[in-house]
Amino acid sequence: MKKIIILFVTIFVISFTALLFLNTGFNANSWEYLQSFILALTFTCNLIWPRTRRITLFLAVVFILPMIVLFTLKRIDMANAFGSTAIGIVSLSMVSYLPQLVKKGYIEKL
Amino acid sequence: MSVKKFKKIFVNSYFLAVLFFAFISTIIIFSWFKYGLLYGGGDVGLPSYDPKRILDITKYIWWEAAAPGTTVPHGLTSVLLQLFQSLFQEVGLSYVAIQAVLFWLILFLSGYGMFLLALSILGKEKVILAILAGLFYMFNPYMMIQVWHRFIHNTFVLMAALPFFFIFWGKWIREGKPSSLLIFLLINFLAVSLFGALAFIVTIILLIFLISAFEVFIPWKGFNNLKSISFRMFIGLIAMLCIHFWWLWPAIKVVPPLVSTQHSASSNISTLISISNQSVIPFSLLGINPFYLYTNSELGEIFLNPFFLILPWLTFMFFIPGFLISLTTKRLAFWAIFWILAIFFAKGTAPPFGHIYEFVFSKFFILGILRNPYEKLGIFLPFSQSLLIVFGIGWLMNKFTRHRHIITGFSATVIFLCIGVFLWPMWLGKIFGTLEKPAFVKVPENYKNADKFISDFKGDGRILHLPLTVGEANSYTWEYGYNGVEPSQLIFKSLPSISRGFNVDFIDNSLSALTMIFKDNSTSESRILKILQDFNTMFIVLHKDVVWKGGFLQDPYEIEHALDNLPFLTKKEEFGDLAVYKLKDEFFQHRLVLSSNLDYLSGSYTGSFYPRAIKEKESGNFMSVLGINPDQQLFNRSSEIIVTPKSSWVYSSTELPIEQITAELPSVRILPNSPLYPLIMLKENTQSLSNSGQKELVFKITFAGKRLVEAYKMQNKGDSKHFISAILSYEDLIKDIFEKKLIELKDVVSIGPYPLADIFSRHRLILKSLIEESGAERDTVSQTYERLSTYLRENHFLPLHETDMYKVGNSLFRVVDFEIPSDGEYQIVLPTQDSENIYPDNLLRLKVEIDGKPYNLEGEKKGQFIHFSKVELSKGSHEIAFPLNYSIDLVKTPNNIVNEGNVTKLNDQFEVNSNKHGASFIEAEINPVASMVWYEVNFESWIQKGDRFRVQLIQDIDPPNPKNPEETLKEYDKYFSKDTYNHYWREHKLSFLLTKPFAKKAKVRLTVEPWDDCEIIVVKKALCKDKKFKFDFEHETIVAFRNFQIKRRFDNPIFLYSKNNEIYSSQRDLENTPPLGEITKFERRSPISIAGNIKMEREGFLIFKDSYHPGWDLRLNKDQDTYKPSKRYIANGFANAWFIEEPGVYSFELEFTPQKYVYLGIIIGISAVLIVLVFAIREKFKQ
Repeated sequence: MKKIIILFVTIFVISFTALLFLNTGFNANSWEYLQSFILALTFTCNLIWPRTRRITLFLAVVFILPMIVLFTLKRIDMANAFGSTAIGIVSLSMVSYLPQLVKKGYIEKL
Repeated sequence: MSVKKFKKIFVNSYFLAVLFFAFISTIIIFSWFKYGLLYGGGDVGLPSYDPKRILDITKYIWWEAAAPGTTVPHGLTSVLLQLFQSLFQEVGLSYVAIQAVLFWLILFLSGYGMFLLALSILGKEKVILAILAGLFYMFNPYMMIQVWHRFIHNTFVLMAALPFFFIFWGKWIREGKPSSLLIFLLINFLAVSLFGALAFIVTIILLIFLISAFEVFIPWKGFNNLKSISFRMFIGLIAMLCIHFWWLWPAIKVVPPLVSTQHSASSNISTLISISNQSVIPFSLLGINPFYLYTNSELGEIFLNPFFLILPWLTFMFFIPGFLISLTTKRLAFWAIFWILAIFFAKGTAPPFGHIYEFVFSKFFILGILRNPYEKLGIFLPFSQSLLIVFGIGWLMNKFTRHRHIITGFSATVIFLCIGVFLWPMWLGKIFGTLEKPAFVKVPENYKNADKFISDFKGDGRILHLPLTVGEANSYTWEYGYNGVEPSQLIFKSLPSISRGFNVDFIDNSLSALTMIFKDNSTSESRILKILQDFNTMFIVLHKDVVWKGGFLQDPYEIEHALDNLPFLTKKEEFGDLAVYKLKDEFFQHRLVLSSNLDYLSGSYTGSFYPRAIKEKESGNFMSVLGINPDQQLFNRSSEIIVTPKSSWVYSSTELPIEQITAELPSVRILPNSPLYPLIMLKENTQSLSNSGQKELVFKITFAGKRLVEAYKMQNKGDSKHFISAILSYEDLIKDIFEKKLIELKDVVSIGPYPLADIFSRHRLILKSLIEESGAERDTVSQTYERLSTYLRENHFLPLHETDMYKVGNSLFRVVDFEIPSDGEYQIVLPTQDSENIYPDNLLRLKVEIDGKPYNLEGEKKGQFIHFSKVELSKGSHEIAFPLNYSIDLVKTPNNIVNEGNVTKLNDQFEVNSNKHGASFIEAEINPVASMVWYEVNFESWIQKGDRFRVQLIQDIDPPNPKNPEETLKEYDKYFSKDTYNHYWREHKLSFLLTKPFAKKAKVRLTVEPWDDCEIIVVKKALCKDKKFKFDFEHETIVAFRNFQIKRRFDNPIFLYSKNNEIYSSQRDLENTPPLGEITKFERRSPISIAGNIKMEREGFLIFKDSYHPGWDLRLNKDQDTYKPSKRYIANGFANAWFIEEPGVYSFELEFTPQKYVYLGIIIGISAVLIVLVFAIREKFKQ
């Protein structure tokens, strides 16, 4: 358990820093920090517990729904927050599937 | 015929698809062209109007027809498309029919190409799904808005060619068959016009790179596979390079200087960031460009309706399962990954992970061509999405086989709603232009008649089109209107047309001289003639149908009046709104002339109108050196010398209390003596490292400010150790800021509310104060102060010589740098701009500082200029500075204030009452009016009733507001609201920069309008936009004004003038000057090749009146020897000039040499195709 916690914290800190850079270059004071946090959390979970990849993909689909609703209500900024988080989750999930993709050319089981 | 047989022929074959896509394309084309009118305008102008003419122009890199000539290297890429169109022109098709055929072909190929691609992925039996993929690719929001509505022809071709690129590159990479490579190369050749937008090279390279990478890595098949794919990729890329060599090599040779003059790195990043705001995820997912669809509502406001907002999302019911299925299926996995990558490529800096885009962009200037990634790479989105959607439909069909009919019906409904309903502008032919103003173009017959009239003269020279725009676009009041790239060079075939600018500074500056010569009748006839001759003008076509209001074009009727009175012109004929004038034969001057009558012109403003107007002698040609080094020999041969500024900037002297400065600089919470300070350093270093370009610079300037505040606080605390470390850290930062050249400092105008110059002047003031308070550390701080001052001087933030003049606090000074070509006496000359009467001494006394030395110069008015007393200046750089003082009050007395409506005047005070429903105003005239001059407007206001008043700058050239025809668009129009904390008099100090060169009258109006509480009372606030509805909620407003003043800032441009009296007197009297020689034979072989004979009696200059370009090569032949003159100059600010030292009789050849790369490229391309062909035949025989 201790090992997992250390691993979790290590991966989370590294990925959060990296995502913060990719997202904001460390110079935004906005929802992008929160987004980086969510993305780092899902990415860490995906790496440590591969079974969560399916859940995070589902989460991404769930994020699409409020995006559509907010888009229809013309709240583009908020729609973007949800939509970009969804795309971020999907792309990070795919990164976690990368070994499988390289090995087999597809994802055997989501 | 049995059903089986019928199916075999029509359903299970590609024939069905051909019929289907041909049918759909035909319906669309009939809808688009049902009015029988041509589409045009915008960035592309008239691409289907007279293709033969376009072909004639574009087959050369040098566009002679766009006089005075320019290089459009990537114009070569359109040759094939124009050749294709001109074949239809040859068989007698109208331009409209040609455009219809082209669009039909694009539509058909895009649908059919995607059909073939889908078939190759899904299998040959999936014809219906493949057709659906083609349909989704043809019809989606991206294609509707970003391709068709944007009307950029390169994107049309990309859309049609992309599936074919994919199919054949994929086949080549997978199978290594030379026949696939051969077809890929042929597609490259046929679709070459898509590379007219150079960024599409990146699009295609990226596509083939992704295909190849996927073949290697997903799944990994070993090193042998990597080797063979790398080899095929290498061969394929080389072959592709060869096939494009004929246009790519000349483009590379000519484009870089153009790119660098047109876009800077920071402007690229600003464009990228602002465009990325329009490609945030929701819009990217839908393929919608909100600027056109929502912000401008160009296709109708219906798209803002909630039903239409939700409609395009319906396809996601198929897309999401399609995406997931694609990931879990071996042969489809590519498309899901490709789509994710496409999103990241297209969205630019929008989240998620948008920063990396900006970071990479600022590191590589060449990526500037991708500053609009949504336009250049966004097509990957519908390309992959259309396939993922049909994967989803296919999966649903298989998954729910029992409910197949329901799925079919549901799919059909979604397709109908998303393609049929949402994309209604495509079906109803409302796709081009806006709903209110479709992009129809009907060139008036008069244009052809005028061209024929000119053509009948069979003369030489050029046509000058007036009013002349120095931009690239123009608008006309034709039957259906026209707004786009200036089309005269295309419509007038008889002679090259001077009709627009080229976005190249030195040519555009010179053309601006042509726009100014008819202004205010201030230019003498002989000077006008000389300028017309310099541009090789033979005819002038006056366009009275041009949309001239707006201030950048002169009123054509005013120009007509001027032209009618010029004795060297004959008004030949009027053709509707066109008037054609011809220069009398005896005044016409050839495209190639010899000259020894010279004037020296140097500096950065060589092309502008002023040097031509300053010159005393009306004959003679200006010569300028290439580069910055002066030419003593040229100087000695010149009779008049005009030095224009090398650079010119405004210095603002600042005197502020130190407490205020430290309060204005970035706040510091944790000081260097705190144990937490290393964390601050870590944070700052991380921010610096993870940003680049402008952002990094802004960070560093901010950190530098923080260091100074820290030093100030440490000094106050008496902590010498941390004080010194803060100063040293500051010094490191300013070293980075000024030496690393993260970005051109001039591109960073301000940080927050403070201009960069103000920030650095505050740094200096702090350092100065620190020096005064320092003890042992004084030397270190002084050193830092000196270093900062040196940097500021080098970067034009500080004058070179800080004299007492600048000690007047918070004042403005003009600082001008001149590069003097030779020792001598020079006069400062400035145009009066009709402003002499509003300044002390009628501007005849000028207090200036030259290199820090004060001068009181006496002036003498000569025409439109004041020449000041001579000053001895040595060769090299000199700095001239003077204070920017304000004129007397232009309003002078309150009696000059005009009022309208309910206005009561009480002594110097005006009480303006709006009434309940009508506005009242007071206004004062600005006189004299000059462009690029600042005016300061001061007044006091007291809003006694109501909530606001309006300040407007009204000019005689204000164009009508397209959104409200009752109003005009004003250069300044702003509301001033009530100050909640001040219900009494408020002072206002506004500054206006008048930018419109053709404005003659201007006034400042203070308007008081009724206030309304509609939005407070009514729940549905949108109703308040309706004037009639708002009427009942209006109430009177009362505002009092006093001390209304308008002052002009003295900031007239200055030049230096010198005269070489000996040469001047010998050249002035032309009759006594023996002729230099003559051009005995002139033969124009093609736009890029000219030959002839010249006879030179003595050394002199050959001037070729096409725009200067190093690619123009002059060869002189004499007695079988060929001689290339090595000394080249720029004549009259824009033209080519060579110095010929040896007198004699020569035959000459003038050639634009980069064209030879085109021919070389054609040979290389053909050779590459032949080699691949040989391998393809060999492969066939082997089989």
